[in-house]
Amino acid sequence: MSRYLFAKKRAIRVVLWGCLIFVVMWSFGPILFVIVSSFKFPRDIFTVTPRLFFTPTIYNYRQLIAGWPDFWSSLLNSTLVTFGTCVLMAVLSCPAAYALSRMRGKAISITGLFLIIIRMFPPIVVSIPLYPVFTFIRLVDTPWSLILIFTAFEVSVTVWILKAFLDGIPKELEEAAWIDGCSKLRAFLYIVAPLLAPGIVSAGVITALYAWNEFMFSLVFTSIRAKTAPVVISEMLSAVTGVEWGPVFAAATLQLMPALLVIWAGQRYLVKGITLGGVRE
Amino acid sequence: MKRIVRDQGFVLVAPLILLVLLIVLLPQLWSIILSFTDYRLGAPIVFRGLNTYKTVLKDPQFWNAAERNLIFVVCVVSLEVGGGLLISLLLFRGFRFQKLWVALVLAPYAISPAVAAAIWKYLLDYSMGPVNWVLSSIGVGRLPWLFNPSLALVSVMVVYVWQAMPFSVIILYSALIALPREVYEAASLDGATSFQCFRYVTLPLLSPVLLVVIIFRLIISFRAFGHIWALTRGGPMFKTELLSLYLYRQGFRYWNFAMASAVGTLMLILTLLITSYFIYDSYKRRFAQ
Repeated sequence: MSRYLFAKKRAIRVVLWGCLIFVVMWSFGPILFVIVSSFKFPRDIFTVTPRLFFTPTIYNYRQLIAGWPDFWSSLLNSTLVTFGTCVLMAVLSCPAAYALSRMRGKAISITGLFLIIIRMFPPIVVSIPLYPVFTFIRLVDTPWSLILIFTAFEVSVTVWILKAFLDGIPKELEEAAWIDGCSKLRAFLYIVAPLLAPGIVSAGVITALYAWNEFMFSLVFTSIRAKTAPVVISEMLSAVTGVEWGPVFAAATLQLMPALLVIWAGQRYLVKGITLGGVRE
Repeated sequence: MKRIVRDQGFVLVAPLILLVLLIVLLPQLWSIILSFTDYRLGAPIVFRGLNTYKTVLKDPQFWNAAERNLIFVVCVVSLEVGGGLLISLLLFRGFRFQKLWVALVLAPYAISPAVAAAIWKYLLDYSMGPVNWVLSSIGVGRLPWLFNPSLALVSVMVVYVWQAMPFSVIILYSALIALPREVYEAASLDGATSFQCFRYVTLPLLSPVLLVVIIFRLIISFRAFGHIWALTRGGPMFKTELLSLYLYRQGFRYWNFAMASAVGTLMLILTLLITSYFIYDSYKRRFAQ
């Protein structure tokens, strides 16, 4: 009997591992495929039967440098936009989240309602009236347009994340500091901020991933100088002369690597952030 | 108003409110106003009452887009949330190197819609794509994934689900971890099988979170744009054109901002209809004092 149970348990284990491998192949397989293919010579990419063994080469990356100078400036733009969004986001959402967590009053509850409602507005709808305005004030095709838009659209998520983390930090700590004669700003910077660090990392990871990967606004609001990497990759896909897959794979790999590293290193913060900021109390 | 300004904490939220007002709220209101005009970029704004709406509602392409949008949302959300639930239950069992598996399952979350489109455009390629290679070697034969009008919508859904599923997985997985252990112990002491445990313990405890995930994903997938635009641009023959792509075409191809605004307003109304109860409820829970 116990032997039978043991065998059954083993069988279940094998099936579960099988399912896991299937799920991982589905989610990570395509990404791995592109990364690997970016190191293949075109003759190894364009085969009827996919090739497992090949001589690695940086040929495609050379082609990318030669054929798509746009891509390198777009990587720079993406970096700039990502950093800018994170900084502006931190400056705006830390104080707001603090107020939402610690204070009561009409201004606070209106802000709360506000932050829930703006999630209902389809982003593309807002781009229609913004476009003429941004053209008028010369913001179109600058990183600034994207920094402002990304911050405005993602702020609701980060504020909820930070608020949830702040709710978990006892108020008494600050109050003790106030009584000892510490100013409110100093108390925030020296007592609350260090405890809030994991929350800031969570919010930062989510904001950075969003700004690095965003496609729709970048497509609408950047056209020549300020193009971000996703926009250039989508242009490479629609080349009239047929897609040059080698450079596309190289560009995709360069664009997704930083984000993958963030997911790997910041997994804990990402999971926490999405859970708190997205949808749950 | 004065009371609000003098409120405690007003200074702390004011910059954020200002930004959101300028970038989201006022443009949204302005877009609603534009939908009652015949504004094209560069032309004067003349009010036309409901004329633009009449034009939109008479356009068969709008109705086709709306219908496809409905099919898209229903299929995508059920696949995402259903698949997400299964995957999170699987991960919840716990494996060796758990952190690695979770990271690999979440990986599509880190991918840009444009890159996701690039990856899948190759995978689904007719002559050299690996998907067709597998299909033809098991005897199904090659399928024109992105060129066939009816298959294209399926392809677009596959790509979208691939990218969006990690979101449901993350939320459901952490919800599962947070469930109280004692309930399971009690259930297994009472002799419940693992399916019974799932059906009568996990599912009811999980249902509030599931509901929120479903509503959240309904809102987001309803406005899907990036993946589809980068993959097919709404083609072939507009067969993958959803409402947001229709809006984009009216606005940024024909520069007919009035039409685009009218479509946008209709999309907003639909979103609010689906989610009004949810907004009310989450506001009440967060700020009930």
